Amino acid sequence: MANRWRYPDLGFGIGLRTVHFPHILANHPPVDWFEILSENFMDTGGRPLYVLDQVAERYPVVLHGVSMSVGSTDPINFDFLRKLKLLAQRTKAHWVSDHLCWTGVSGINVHDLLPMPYTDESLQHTIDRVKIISEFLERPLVLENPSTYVEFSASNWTEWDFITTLAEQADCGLLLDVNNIYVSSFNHGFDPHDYIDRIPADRVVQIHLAGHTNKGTHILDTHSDHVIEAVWELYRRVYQTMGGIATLLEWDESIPSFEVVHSEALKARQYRESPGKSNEEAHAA
Amino acid sequence: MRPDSLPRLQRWMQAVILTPGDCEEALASEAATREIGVHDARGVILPSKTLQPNERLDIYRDMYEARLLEALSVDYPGLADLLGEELFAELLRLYIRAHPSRSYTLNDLGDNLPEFLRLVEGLPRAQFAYDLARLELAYSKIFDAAETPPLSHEAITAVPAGAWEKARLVPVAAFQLIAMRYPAQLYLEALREEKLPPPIRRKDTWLAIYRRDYAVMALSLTRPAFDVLSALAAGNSLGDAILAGKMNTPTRHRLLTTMFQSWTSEGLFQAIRTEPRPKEAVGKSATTAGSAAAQWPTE
Ligand SMILES: [Fe+2]
Repeated sequence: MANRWRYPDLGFGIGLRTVHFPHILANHPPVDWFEILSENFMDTGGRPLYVLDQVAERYPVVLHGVSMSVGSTDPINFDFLRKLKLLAQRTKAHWVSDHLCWTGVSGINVHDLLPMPYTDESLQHTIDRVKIISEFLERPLVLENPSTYVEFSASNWTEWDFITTLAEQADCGLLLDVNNIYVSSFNHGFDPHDYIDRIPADRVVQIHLAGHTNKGTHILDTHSDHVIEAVWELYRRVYQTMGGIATLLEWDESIPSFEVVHSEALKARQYRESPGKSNEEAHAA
Repeated sequence: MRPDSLPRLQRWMQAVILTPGDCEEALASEAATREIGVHDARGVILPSKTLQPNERLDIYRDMYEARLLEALSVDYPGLADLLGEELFAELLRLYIRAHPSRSYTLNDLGDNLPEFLRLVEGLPRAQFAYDLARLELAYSKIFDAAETPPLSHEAITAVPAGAWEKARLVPVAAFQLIAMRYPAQLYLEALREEKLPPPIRRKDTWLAIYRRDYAVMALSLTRPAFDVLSALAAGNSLGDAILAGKMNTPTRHRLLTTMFQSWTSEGLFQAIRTEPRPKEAVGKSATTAGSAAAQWPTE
């Protein structure tokens, strides 16, 4: 099933990371596409931008940011959006994504993907902002579900209902992070299948996969390891219900060689091919 | 405003994250209780099967400090090495309290650290630490400065001999001058090459920081050369800049031949302006990063 904007299934990509710059420039490895961390390139005119230009010339790229602060009650930062828009034009990015979160208020930046309370008020607030941002960027914003570690007692929506309603009413795209669904389901004790089954397939333009750190009492979304089997199985379910969607592997801590990261991304292929467990078995797992 | 309104919840949660100490102290802090009182705060976050609300908040509190300290450590590896892990971390914790990030980019987070060092009492090797931090900040800024193509050889040879005195040389964007009491660059070089740093000895040092093939470089300058470059960066003509260098004749000759050649071959300039300087620009500082740092550090 294609998404409503007919954004392409770019295949299996990886995040562009500084430690891999020399390898990529020297070898032009056969990667389907790269995801660019927007903030790493918005305020530099040096080597990072030079490398990005080389990459964007050869590979399809999408922009992925962490600082848009879509859910914040501070004013929208149009200076940030202007730079982001220019970067998207420069790299011919297929789409631009950020997270369903806030990163700070009162002019301060906490540099974290802070959780939204899932209330009617915050839903309406976020819908209004996403509309303004999409209009400014002249493209539908794509929003990712973050990993979260707290739940607000004020919340009267489930995360999956909240994000679905937000996407429909603000007419935005979704970046479904399958690992984040798993992490949050562990931290808050919900069934990840309920989440996946509720998400409107025609709005999902990208998938994230990543490793995490299980602390026993909770899971941290560290992007520091291989993807665990349970997350791969969730990915299979996403494929079965939504079809082929551009899939990206994130690795941000203890980053191994380019080949290791790339082959981890390519593992996703097998979960698109083999039938795997039935829904009932997957539920029971 | 309802106690659980979105603006209030966000301000409260941010206050709890930013306030140091344990979570109870943060919840009882002035910044947090201004939004939600201690009693009501207990009900804001739900417990999970395994964690109490405070333990869940601590995840964000711990990550905040770890993330900001990590970003600053990347920008100031030399200072970290000089002060040692513990003292450096303690310093950074004080710093982020005094200067929380106000930008969407972490690139700017450490901008005030050198000046902050000057306010810290009892810092060991304070002047050297200050020089080192300023140099590391300059390196970071030059790494990210805009790329402006340097003057070509043809552009230089095209200037008629008689026009040089009034010519103004515009430095590339990735250019900064720095004067230090200590040769802090040697410390950073040793660190980069994983060698033992040289003994810290006082020696007045003048550097031009710039980029070559996207790598950040430091060029050692004599005091007169530093003064000439400072004057050029401030928009003065070559003739006036040379006067600012206060040199005797042989030094001036050497500057005009070998030094000038090395500056242009290192790509320090992006343009030569032979037309007179626009009136309104006189007296204003140059637009490059250079002018701001081209001052003698106060003791
Ligand atoms: Fe993600």
